Amino acid sequence: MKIIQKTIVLLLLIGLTTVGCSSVKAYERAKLNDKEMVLAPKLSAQFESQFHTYREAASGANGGKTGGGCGCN
Amino acid sequence: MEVKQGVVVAVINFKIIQQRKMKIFFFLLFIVCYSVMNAQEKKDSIQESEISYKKKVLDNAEVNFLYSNYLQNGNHGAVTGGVGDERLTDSTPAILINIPLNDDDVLSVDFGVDITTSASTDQINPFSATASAKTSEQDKSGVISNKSSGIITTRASGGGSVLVNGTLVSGQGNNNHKRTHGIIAFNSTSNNRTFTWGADGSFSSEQGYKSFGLGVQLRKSFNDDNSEFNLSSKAYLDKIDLIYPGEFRASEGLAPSVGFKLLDATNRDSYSAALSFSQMLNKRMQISLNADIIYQEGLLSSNYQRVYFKDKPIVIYKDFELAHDVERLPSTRTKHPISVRFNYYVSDFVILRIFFRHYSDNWGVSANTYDIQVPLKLSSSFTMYPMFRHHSQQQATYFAPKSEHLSTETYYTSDYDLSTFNSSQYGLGMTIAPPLGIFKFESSGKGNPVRFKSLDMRYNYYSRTDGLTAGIVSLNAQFTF
Repeated sequence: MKIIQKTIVLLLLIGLTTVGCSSVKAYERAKLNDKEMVLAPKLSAQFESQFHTYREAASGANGGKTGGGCGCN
Repeated sequence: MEVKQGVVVAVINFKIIQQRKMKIFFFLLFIVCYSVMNAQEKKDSIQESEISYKKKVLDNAEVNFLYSNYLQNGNHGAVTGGVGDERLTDSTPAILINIPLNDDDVLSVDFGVDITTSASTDQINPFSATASAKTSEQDKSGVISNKSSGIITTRASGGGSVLVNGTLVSGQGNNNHKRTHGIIAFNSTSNNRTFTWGADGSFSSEQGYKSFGLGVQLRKSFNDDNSEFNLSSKAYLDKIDLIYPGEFRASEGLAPSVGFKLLDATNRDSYSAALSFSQMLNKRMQISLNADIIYQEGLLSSNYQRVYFKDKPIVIYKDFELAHDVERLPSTRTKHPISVRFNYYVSDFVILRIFFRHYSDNWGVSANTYDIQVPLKLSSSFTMYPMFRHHSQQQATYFAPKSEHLSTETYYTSDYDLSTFNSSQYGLGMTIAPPLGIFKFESSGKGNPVRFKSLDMRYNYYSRTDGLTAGIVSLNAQFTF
């Protein structure tokens, strides 16, 4: 049930983000192409993500590992 | 009696069917998404078949030298049942290489080694007279060092580390533990650059724990690259050597080992599917929405972590409190986190990076995580970024502190990583990345010059409301050639 609720929330969010936002042309993306604007954690953050996986029960949905080879659950 | 057996068989069958359904679900999800994206890709390719120029996906080979150093302190070691020191250090050098094979394809190789020193190692079997010597048994027990936990000041036998005034003294039992891990990945992008597919294989090896993983990824951009879907699916197949606390080993001849129920699984398999949608909102803002579903089965408990019951008498042997059982947890777990990442280019000086995740699973854990970074562009090549992260978590149904579980319960743990807590993390990072690199080494041959492209360093301090604290420093030096 929770999965269904989350899927609905996600679809709504996708709808909200796509509706009403203007199309950005390739030549207008100088700021969006800045390295600090990448929609992912920095490479050097992977170690923090790893220890969060050990020390916290929550993981996933952040582009990091979701299992395997860590000796923890 | 027959009815009972029938019910048990029905329950087992139901679980097996559920597990199969989950695996089939992951497989079908991937096939459907691949078909849709591939069909769209073919359509785009026909429309843009007259493209005469395409930019390389990756211009130069990249080498990233990564390093981190982690130090942790705490007093809720799970090996000693939720009490005991959790001091741990971990150094991780790693290297990530991205090699362009041609205009479209990139091969990535990632390799690293974790070198961990943990105060908990000796506490798995503190009764061994040779605890301080590097016996095979002790070496084997080193597998737990990643999972932290404890040392107690009243040693059961000679050897091992001792805490004196909060300082870890003597390296006798403070063994180094090593984990090697690597990933090899291949990614191929279409001519019109709107579709990428990739596959990877990974391994991880440490004493008593081996893991092999396979993964596939798809990316499809559309709406003039304003929108993008990413889908990835991974499977990790782990093999675990069972290592029990000393009092449960028949060789020690201690009471808890009599009638002790051995764990019956030695595998831990994880399957995940991740879906991500990103969208440019305007010239300064972009957002991504992410959802994962992760299914695990097998041995999900840590077999060396002790549990003490409140309805059983305490037995002390050589100053050590003998455990009543080891941690026991269900053999399946389904996690479903969703997250939002939002980046805002406020001005040429300030950028805002925000991340929020809501997590829940079928063990009763729910959590919210907020992460904010504010990169300050002090010059065209130098950026500083303060960071703050907050995490609040509701405990797993099976968690209780030491001596609060009942022996009649089916599942129990005193691992504080599964407890209710809030944690805060704050730190500072800096990036030096001049447009043409920090400096370059001229090549004598025909090849490209080697450039020291960028340097990224960060420090973070982490504290949990149960008293655990940690500090981590990380760096990434990137070279291109």
